[in-house]
Amino acid sequence: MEKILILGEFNNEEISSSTRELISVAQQINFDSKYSIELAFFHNSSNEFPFTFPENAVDRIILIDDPLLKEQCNLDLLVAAFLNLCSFSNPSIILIAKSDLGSNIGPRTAYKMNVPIVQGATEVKVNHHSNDFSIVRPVFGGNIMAEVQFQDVHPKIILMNEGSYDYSMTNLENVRTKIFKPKLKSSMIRSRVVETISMEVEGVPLSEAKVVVAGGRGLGDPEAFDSLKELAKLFNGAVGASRAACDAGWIDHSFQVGLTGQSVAPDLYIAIGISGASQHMAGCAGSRNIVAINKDPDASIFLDARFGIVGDWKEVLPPFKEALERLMK
Amino acid sequence: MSIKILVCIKQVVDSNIPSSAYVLDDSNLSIIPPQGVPPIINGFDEIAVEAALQIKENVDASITVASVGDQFVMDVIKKPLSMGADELILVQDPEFADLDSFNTVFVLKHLIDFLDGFDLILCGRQASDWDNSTVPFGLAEVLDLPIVTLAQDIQIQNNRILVQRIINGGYELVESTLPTVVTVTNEFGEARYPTLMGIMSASRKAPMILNASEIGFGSLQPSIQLNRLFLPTRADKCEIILGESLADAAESMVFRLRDENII
Repeated sequence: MEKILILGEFNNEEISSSTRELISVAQQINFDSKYSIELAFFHNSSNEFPFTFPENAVDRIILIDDPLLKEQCNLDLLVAAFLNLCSFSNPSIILIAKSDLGSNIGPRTAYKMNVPIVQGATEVKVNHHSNDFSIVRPVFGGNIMAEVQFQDVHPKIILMNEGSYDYSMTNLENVRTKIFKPKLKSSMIRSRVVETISMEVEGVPLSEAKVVVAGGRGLGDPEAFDSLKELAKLFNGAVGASRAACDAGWIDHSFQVGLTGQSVAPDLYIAIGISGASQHMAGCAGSRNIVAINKDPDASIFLDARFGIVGDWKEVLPPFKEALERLMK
Repeated sequence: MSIKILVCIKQVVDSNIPSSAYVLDDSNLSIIPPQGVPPIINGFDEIAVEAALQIKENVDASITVASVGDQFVMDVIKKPLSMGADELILVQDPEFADLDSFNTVFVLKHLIDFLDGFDLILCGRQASDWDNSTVPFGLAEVLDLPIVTLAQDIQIQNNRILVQRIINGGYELVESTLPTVVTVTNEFGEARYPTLMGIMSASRKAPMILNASEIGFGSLQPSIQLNRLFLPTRADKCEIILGESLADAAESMVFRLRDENII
């Protein structure tokens, strides 16, 4: 039986939402049950692995386990380990999320196997007659969409944009789990992290937030993000930013939503002072509802938004917050 | 010891043009470059040139800039020379008209072997046209070199390289040894503008132009086929919430969102 191999990831002990999206993609490709679906995780934490997998959509879970991976989460080792698994498992299709880890592992694995990779996919279109599929991805900063197809390539490796797919939360049990022992040597390490400098971020991570309050250059000054943070807190959501606001130094790049930042797909995305450039929309197009607050009635964000207010955010946000607080009481 | 630096650059359609300026040809397989808008060097690649120039300010280094394609606009592609790079090499061949990132890697590998290798290969984090960020990873693999991505700072001491690599929520300090591949991100800072002196000196320099067979490149490999390009549809169904004042509108917005069970 041909296989689809998914590289899964965890986020705070939970299966990441991008992994759930990959499972949806795999199920879609596997409409006629031609494939068996394997979901692999790196077993690299020293903690007990959380075995309560909330998905019944896969045939097998594979834990890639090696003492070296427990010592350090080194990219060179992770690539080597995943490549080992690919050689062993010989999947026809490999699905990886375009996370920080996936963006590194995907292309490196592809070139080690001497195959091309489709990056930043937002949709897989399955042709039920030909049993083949094409892949849609934004190009040219999200101004154009490209539909592409693999030529005679094995395996087909796809890096999916995060936040592109809906996923289900069905609970379940009893997926067979298998331990895979890669052949790792410490001499495989060619670069290593000597220090990690992280900022303290309050609240939920941007990629998992149900509500994102994002600001752009139209905010006018860096202090404005304090108001956005307060609003995000009311929703138990997260703050996001456009690249323009990040490049201006108003807020750290890790808040950036867009092509070169994070992709998010919250239930509600409130875009404040964001013009709606394609490269920004590429990171939030999967949002279920976009609310735009912008004083420029011609801002292209209004083409994507479901609800909008045309006006200065400074006059809109305080009454919005007050009304919200009253409602929540 | 002098460090040999290679910066890989790409000439691209300027993606800063408004969405409405994008026009597809009849086959829906290529973009008609807007009239009067010259191509640019991919912005991230310019920052990679900037990174090379900053390294050269601190250590003895030579900077070679290379690009691959079927045609180049000389005034555009020579910009790194006017910024201060030492030489420019173009691999130009009609065969490279629709060169994809997969095959670009093998062309560059042949060029790098032809030039006896480099100590440091710098690339922009991704090209702003096809947004792939594949080539640097591919180069590292086919040349069997380490790779460090998303650099916002690069320090070199002897053959040790320290890179501040952007991650979610901060950065990590990554150590590797030369030769290595590093990709540079916009957090590195803006690329410098060429000086008048630089422009004049660049005008006297001619790029070295090589074709596929001169660097020993054989044939293209099967890869990914482009079925079609299309313009994304935008919903354009925004309900503008109005009110006597913006405060009224703001309040109505909250109620509207509640009515729709969004909040």
